[in-house]
Amino acid sequence: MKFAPLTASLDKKSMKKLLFEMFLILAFALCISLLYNMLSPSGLRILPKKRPAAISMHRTDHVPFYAHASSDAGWVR
Amino acid sequence: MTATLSLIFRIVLGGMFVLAGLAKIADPVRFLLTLREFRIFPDMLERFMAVTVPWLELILGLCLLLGLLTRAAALLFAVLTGGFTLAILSVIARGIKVDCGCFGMLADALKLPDTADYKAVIRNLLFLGMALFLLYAKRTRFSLEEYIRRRAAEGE
Repeated sequence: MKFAPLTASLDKKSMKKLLFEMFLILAFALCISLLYNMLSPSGLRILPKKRPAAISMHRTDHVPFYAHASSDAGWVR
Repeated sequence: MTATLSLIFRIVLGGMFVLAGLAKIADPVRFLLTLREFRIFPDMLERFMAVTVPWLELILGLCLLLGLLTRAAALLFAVLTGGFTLAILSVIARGIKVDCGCFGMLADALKLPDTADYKAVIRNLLFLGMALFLLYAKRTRFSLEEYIRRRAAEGE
């Protein structure tokens, strides 16, 4: 049986090459998995999307239109 | 002999990781729940792992099957399998009975043994040995890396 000598794997150049190849695989896996998570339907999305900004209580532009109406105007009886 | 053994190990480990990766990608929520049962990592890390580990398995499996970046893939395989083994050992030591989640939904479909016990540890150690063999084996057959190198040498 032919094995690469242990010293060969400790060689600086081959060590650097091995580390670079490992980094390449990890980076590729990370990119693809995050992309897949982003594109998958919400039921299968594990990592949450960015949280929506909290709605300020002092702003009224998010309040439904009928809440602005005085008394019961706008409501169908 | 080394080349043939190396090819066999590549097919076994690569095929297994491709199947395990695909099964987990198809049902990531199940893998996340399995990770939670292990009670080792914080919530956010569990989610991150549930997303990234299956894809890493799939890519490592493909690398091993095709014979591309074989040594790096074998080393990463060994690190990943070592991590799984430590996790299973920690669960056994704490007396928690869980599924190891190694094959995801494939375990149900093919009725594969999927419990985190000593059998799983022994199986993982066997795979670890194969990965270390690939890391130190000098030659292998039907490798894409070898083919590219040969074509490049012919071109010069």
